[in-house]
Amino acid sequence: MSRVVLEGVTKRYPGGVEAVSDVSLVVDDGEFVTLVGPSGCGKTTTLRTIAGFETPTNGFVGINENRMNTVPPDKRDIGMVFQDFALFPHKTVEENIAYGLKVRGNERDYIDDRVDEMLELVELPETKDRMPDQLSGGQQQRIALARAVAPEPDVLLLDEPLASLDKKLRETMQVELRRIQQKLDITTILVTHNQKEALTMSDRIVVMNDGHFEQVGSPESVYSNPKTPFVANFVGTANILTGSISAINDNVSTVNCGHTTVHSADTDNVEVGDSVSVVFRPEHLSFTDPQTATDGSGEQSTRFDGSVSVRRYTGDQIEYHVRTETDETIVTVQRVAETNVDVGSNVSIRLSANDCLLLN
Amino acid sequence: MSTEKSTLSERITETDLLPRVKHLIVSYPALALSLFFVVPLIVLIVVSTFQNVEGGFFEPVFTLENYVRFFGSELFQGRMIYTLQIAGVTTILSLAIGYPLAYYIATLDSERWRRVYLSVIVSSLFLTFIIRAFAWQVLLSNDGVVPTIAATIGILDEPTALAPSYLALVIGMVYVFLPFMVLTLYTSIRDVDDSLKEASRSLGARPLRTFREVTLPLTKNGIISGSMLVFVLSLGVYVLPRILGNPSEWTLAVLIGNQVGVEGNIPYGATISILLLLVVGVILGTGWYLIGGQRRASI
Repeated sequence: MSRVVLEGVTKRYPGGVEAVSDVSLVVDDGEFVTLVGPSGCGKTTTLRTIAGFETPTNGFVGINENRMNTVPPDKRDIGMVFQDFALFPHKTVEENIAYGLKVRGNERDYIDDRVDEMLELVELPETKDRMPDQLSGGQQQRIALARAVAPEPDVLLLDEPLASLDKKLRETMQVELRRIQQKLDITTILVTHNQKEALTMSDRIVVMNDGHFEQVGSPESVYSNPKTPFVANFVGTANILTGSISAINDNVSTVNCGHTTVHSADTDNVEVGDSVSVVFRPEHLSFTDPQTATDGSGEQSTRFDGSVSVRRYTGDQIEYHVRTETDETIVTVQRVAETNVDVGSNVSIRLSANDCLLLN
Repeated sequence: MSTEKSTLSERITETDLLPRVKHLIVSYPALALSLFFVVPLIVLIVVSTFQNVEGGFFEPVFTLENYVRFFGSELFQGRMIYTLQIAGVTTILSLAIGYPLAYYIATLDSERWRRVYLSVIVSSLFLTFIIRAFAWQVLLSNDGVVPTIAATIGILDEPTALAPSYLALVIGMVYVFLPFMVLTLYTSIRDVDDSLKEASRSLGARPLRTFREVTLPLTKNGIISGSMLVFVLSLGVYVLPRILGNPSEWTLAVLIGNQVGVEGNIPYGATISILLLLVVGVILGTGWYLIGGQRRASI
């Protein structure tokens, strides 16, 4: 059992800057949790607090129920992968991987076996005698991972480990990293600014903003049920309109957003008169016949009329920015095969009330 | 036929003029080096094989008797060994004092404080060797600060002059050459990435182990460079032994000065200089080999 517990953790730097404000989280044994947020949101500070490179100002940091607040990193039994990999440049691949085992006083034979095992795990046995600067970025990344997990640490901490790789390699490594993590069944905390990486790799994601946790949940729930406009906008792309609720009836809220009226099936926790953010995803919008406001099923929906101002072809789909008659920009993506309109075309787009979230 | 030739020669001038100018520009450093270093060195070697004439003159007659004299003279060989020894002691003490100091400054979080410390260290170089040597002479004299304090805390029975002496010379030399050691080491220690030390800590190594396994090996080149610099500078000290040492603490450089200035034996002075230069050459060569060897190993 290797759990990581944060309770009311706050980190304030001398000079008063509060990097992390009162965050709480329990990472279960074998779970892969990702801290995601823009730069300066406190995600790296949170990770470094778990690693022991930062001491929390307030709160409780625990690994396996033990209080770790002031325990130095070398006594925490963690494995860490750094953004620049931090392989020891004066040691061979073998010596790098053996380092944590040697420091812990293991027997020579065990170390040799374990190094070979780790090299097999990351599929790079042929690099054993090389120096780190003879490896490619992806290979360095794998060796850094092998070195971190070789001593079988309680927790694996990953600080933007893929940020310095190019896109193609990054995607390969996302799959690889997840494969190894699941094979070892090791409790893992990843820090990234890349929301796509967070969505594809994790069991749970923690969206951070300005030192606090905006939302914690599975990738699916965070993406489809963002709790704040920040989360909606940071995880994936979202259209956000602001307005106030003018009516709620028959499980449909009507929101008055300036010149536009939007219908939403979201009626929980809202009352008439509330100021709300209306959130909907680009892929939930469809081009429609300008004549109809509702589809055949009689389901409530909203229609936006406007003209295409931007068209971005991305291969499998096309992203359109539609400038509405009320001067708002709505982003939508459509599959290439289904729709193809040019910049300047007048279009109508339809938003089902079911796909429209209201956030306080 | 003739027209063909003229076009060919034209072509040659056209294409060759630019490289010629380029060569001229590129050869400037080589020219400067030759003029200021190689030529004087050749003159020195030539003079060292000339015959000395009483009264500060020499005859251009080839002889090896100056070299024979050096290798037959216990005094001069002894001075050579003494010079190497005091340079060695100075280097080791500078490294022992300089490394912790450089490490402390290099690992300070505040850039402002790093600058303040470095400025203080560099500022001691603003004064010439002579002034700093005299300052130490005063500090170590029988009513100077150092013997007074030493007597007060009981190291000395009563304040006695500590200069001139071997100790005074070593103190003076370490004081003078320490900044070179610290500045060289500082750069080298700053170059060690923090994440490497953190990686070592995260793998379970305590701070001391991390220093031994990561910081120290990665600053080896700085240690070698700094030591070579201080050692070579120490070999050439002339002013410090004369002010802070007895005649028994005089280094080879002082003896060379005496040969030329007092004895008027310029060829013999040149001979000792050449031999000292050879020693410096061997040390630099070894140092470069060590650094190069390490670099090769890491590629």
